[in-house]
Amino acid sequence: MHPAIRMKGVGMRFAGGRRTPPYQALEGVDLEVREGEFFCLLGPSGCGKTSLLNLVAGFVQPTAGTVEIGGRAVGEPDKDRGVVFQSDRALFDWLTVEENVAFGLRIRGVPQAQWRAPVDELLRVVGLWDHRAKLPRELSGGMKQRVQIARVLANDPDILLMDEPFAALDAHTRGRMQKEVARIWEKWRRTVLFVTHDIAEAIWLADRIGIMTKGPGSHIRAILEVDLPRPRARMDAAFVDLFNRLTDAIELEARGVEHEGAGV
Amino acid sequence: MSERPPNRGALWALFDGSNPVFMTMLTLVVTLIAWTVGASFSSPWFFPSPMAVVQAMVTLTESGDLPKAIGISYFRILVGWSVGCIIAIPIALVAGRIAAIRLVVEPFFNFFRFVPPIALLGIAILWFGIGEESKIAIIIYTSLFTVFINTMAGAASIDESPARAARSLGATRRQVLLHVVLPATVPAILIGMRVGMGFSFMSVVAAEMIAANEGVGFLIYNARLFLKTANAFAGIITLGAMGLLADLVFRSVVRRVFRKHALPF
Ligand SMILES: Nc1ncnc2c1ncn2[C@@H]1O[C@H](COP(=O)(O)OP(=O)(O)OP(=O)(O)O)[C@@H](O)[C@H]1O
Ligand SMILES: [Mg+2]
Repeated sequence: MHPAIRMKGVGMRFAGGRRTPPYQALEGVDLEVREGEFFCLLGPSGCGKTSLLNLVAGFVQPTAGTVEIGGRAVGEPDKDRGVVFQSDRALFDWLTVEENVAFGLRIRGVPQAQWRAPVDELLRVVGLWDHRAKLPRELSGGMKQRVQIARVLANDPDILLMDEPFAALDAHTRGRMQKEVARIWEKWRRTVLFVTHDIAEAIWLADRIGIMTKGPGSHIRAILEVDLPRPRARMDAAFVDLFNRLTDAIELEARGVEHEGAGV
Repeated sequence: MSERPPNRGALWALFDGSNPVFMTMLTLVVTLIAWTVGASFSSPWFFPSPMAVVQAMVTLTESGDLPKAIGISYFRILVGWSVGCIIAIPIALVAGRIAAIRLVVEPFFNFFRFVPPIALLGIAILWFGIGEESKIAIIIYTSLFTVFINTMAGAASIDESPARAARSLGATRRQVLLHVVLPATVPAILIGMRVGMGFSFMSVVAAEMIAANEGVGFLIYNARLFLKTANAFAGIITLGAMGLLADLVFRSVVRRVFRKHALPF
């Protein structure tokens, strides 16, 4: 069986402009994400996590290597790959919460009789039922991210790409959202590629964690299995041990120490 | 210290800017008084008083000249402006999204930026005749230009992420244009339409002064022939009021139609 996502020798070079020199963001990225897996990408800011996600989503083409989805070369963006964006400006500002969530279904011509029930349920799941008639500009940051999540889930994609969806939230809300996502995923069991630079978040959520090197020429340095039972509610000894190992690995990465292949 | 401003009585409160209606009325009254005083030092054919202008307005209204002029000028503006908007918006939207098209049209717009609509009046008359068509053509050019530039710039500068989100929710390119780019560009389009309406007023008056025997512009310019200066003033004031009314109607309609948008006015 094909992996859900496979990247082989992927490079991403930004051509640069009149004032900006070209920049090799990604180089030699190899990654395989299994069907139904929750995969977290961990890496320092600016290393190319969003660029990698954009490649999988089909928003941009790699300048080297291949990206495959379910064994086939990645094509244009489509409903099989849902995206939760880092920026909360990705919502449709001129549509209500409910209309945002129903957008994917409506654009594909699903009649209201059929989208009503799933949309209503999702609004309840993400706790926005009471706010369904509001406009994005009337929501808090956390609420906006929940709209994004509901909007993607309503579409039932095969692969869910999430780009630091909780980075802008306060610690309390972030914790709640992480639990929520873990709970939804356990029921839903689709492939998730989740980008974060929050180590604890990666451990709470992931089956496996990929650590990216810092740029330029960033790639995936090591992949780590997270062998903790779910639901992961508490920081036990195994959690702390993993946390420390990841912290050390990232620390080394941030200092730019080259120790390719060293066991994390 | 108290949170409230010191109480200096109700009379003072009228002047502190918290009552906009009062301030507007006050400005109006002061202007009228100054105008009356100023006019009293001059002769009516050089600088008529407000009363003389009101008198002229009444006479022009009774004779039917003013209502007719208002009607014909509004008609020209409305038709020209609507046609201009209808042509400009879809093309500008596409041009804003496709860099290749933008590169082709931009030089033309940069060139014609320096060609005022009225410079084309002679050619318009040659092509479309001395009748309504040439004047309306000038208004179309005026509004089309403004609306196009605003719409194209707006569509080119919208945030990329909603369009990308729509694509990965299953929208086709055309659906993105219609359901994401267009609504996201609405504020820029409306600014263009509003500015374009203002420019249309300028163009119609200029065109009517040069090549018409009807309309508010003609009425204003014609007044000089018989030294009926009060008529010219009446026409100018009418013009201002027409613009104000048109803008008011535009804004209230737009606010009703685009309830959910964050509008810039
Ligand atoms: N369109 C672009 N043109 C030129 N350079 C770009 C472009 N997009 C990203 N980059 C560069 O590529 C590198 C990776 O950017 P990217 O946004 O993928 O980082 P990131 O890992 O998502 O960072 P963060 O955690 O801060 O979101 C950065 O150095 C950035 O400056
Ligand atoms: Mg990023």
